[in-house]
Amino acid sequence: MTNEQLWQTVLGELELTISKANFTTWFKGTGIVSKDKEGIVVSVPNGFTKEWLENKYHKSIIKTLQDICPSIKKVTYKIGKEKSPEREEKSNIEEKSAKEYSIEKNDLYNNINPTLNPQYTFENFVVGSNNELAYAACLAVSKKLGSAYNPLFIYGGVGLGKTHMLQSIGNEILKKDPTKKVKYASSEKFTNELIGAISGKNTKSFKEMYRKIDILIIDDIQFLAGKEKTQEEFFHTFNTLYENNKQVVLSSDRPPKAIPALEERLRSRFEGGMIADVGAPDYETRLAILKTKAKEKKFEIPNESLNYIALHIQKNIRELQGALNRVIAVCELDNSYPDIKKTTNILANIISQPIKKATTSKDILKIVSDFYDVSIDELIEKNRKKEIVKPRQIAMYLMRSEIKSSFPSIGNWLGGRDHTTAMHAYDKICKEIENDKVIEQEIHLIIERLYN
Amino acid sequence: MKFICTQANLNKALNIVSRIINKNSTLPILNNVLLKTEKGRLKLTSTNLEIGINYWVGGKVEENGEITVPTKLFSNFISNLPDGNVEIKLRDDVLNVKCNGYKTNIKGLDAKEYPLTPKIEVKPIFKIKSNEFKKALTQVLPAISNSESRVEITGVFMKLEDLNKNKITIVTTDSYRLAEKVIYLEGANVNKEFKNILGNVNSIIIPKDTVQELARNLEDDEELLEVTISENQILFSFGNANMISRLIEGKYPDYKQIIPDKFESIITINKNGIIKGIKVASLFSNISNNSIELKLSEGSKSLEISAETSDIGNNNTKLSAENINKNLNISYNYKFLIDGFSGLDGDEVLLQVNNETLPTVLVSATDKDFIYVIMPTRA
Repeated sequence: MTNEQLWQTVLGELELTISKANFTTWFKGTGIVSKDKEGIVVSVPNGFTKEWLENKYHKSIIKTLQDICPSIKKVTYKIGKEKSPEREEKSNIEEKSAKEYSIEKNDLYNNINPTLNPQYTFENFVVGSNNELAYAACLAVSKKLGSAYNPLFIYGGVGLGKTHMLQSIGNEILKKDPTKKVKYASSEKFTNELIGAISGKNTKSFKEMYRKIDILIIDDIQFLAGKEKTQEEFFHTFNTLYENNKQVVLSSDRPPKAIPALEERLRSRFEGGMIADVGAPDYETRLAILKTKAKEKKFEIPNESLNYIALHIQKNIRELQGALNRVIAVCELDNSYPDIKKTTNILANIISQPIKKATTSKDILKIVSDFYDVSIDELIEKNRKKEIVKPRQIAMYLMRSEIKSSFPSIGNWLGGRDHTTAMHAYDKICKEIENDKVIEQEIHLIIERLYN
Repeated sequence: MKFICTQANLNKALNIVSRIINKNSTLPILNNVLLKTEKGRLKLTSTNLEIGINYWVGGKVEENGEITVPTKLFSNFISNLPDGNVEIKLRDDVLNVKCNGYKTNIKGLDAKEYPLTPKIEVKPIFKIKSNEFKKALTQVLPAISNSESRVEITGVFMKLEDLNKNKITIVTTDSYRLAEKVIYLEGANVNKEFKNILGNVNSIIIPKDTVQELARNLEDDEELLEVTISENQILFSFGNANMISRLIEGKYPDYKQIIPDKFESIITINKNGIIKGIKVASLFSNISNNSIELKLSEGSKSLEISAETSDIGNNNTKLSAENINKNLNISYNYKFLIDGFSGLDGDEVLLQVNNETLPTVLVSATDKDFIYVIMPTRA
């Protein structure tokens, strides 16, 4: 019997004999530090607990212990943290914290840049086939500012780690050289700052501020769509930085080509550097992510349970983390072990939920028209312009593939077209998906929006 | 139990012991204060299991005894009584209190159930004048961290390794700023046996709440405060009170490395002038980062404090200053600056800067024992 099991047994028995309030007050945070032939040393969190156990519960503790382990003659109490049986792991943690302190200096610097979250680093990023290109590009950028890939454009769906990568670049650069000026902003923040500057008649200092920096990181650039003045200002900022060999890193939920209402000159600039995509993680990567996260939180969970989570939550890393956090929270709350059964129970209502919400043909039309920036009327009308035909066919394809509409009804939705038209569209897109990565990506993004 | 004392004394005692009571405790008796006659005085004890406070009130003991009563109720009641003598008497488990026509019965809980105050059986490590220690604690307290993710910086770090030179150092930081105070003790007030008592402990971390309570309860006089340390606990004995607390376990960051030892500009300024200037500028600082800017021009006899927020307005204040050796625009969080300058002694203070990314150090022109390190903010 390990010390931990022994103490758990003792606690189990004591719990029956004393009131709950007393039990939680006096036995929380206690544990066995060491055990030899004759005696046991019990760790207690504070002096009050020590006095109380020595004077009030000593007899019951000794008696319970002797029932289990008759050789024990002596129990002493010591103030301090309980040392878990896994000494090795403990020393690991200590080592890690020692490392942390030695970078205290950098820590101070990182804190000054309030927009960067120091938790996001390359070290804790899990690389898989879905993101290795993007990861390599980010790493290269952080090593060779402005000269490796400029601009770097990362795109991919929600919750797949774009922000983590972007912030890691910033953190890595600051770690190497705290004097570098890193500016990280969401495109919304950029817009707001610009609006603030315009209303305060202060655009000059806005321009200066953005053009003095060494690296500009803008997250979710797709939100610049349709904001012309912001785009113009961004265009000039971009040019200035680019000409001076300063690094620009951007992220978006879709490739530059697919961002509607984005000025052509910006689009072409975005495409001038390096474009890397981040896809949904495969099973192995998901499992690796879960393992890293569990380790970070120092939470013990059997592989089987992690396996279960990784198998059932597939699309989104954020959800993956959410599921793990839920398991951790529940287990810490009722102090239980997350075996496969427990995990299944805890996640039952997350996983059994139909992942796909009820989706209607109308939703599909709306989202497709938004995505390609054409109106629903245009999709329905009779015309054969190329830029309308493709979205229309994709809409038909999605109605078939996502909600299993019949071909005649699809034809009806799209302005009373013949069911053979719908069949043709479906076949055509099916083939194109196989041959054309861009279409595949676009459809992927549309589907994602459909369900988010 | 029967005990008589003045309302003022009892009220003061309850003020001191009642603040640490933790309202969310699982054990109901922890909401109570223990009253016990001891050596001709009444001892009041309260605890939240991390800190315990004992306070002895002088008065007349006519009958010994002990009981616990709800702290909040008892102290609210006593504080509303008029000046005069208070008589408390115990009948079974009911405490009846009489004072100038007020008569009250308070239902108590058995004192046997009350947590026992831990005993510390070693001798004090050092003694120090209450007012000196109170001032030192008040100087470093503002820079202490509230962060729950790093417990080791949520306490006051006390370095004991220089005790043989009659010196201790206390430090606080929240990683944006850092305060360090060196305290010199009188030789006679250091226990020569300290090495035997401390063993291999050469520094401790005292929890923030403990230090705050201590600073609040210490009198501003020269009476000696005794500090005793043993097995993860610290005991402060002063006046009619003592306070025992657990210590924080953990390794304090190696803070020395962030304090620069050379400066490009050591600027002399008037303390009250700059505090006022910062306060004025703070009205115009950006709410999101509390940032204000200092403009330093080489060779100039003045520095400028300025702040601007586009939808509020802007402010610019010129203050005379000496020894500016570098052109520099440097921004700070104004709250941190005010905390720092306010803690410094004397009228003349030194602003020691290198550049906009390295820490700035504030120190009094006359008293170099206290330094305040602050990180500039990035525009």
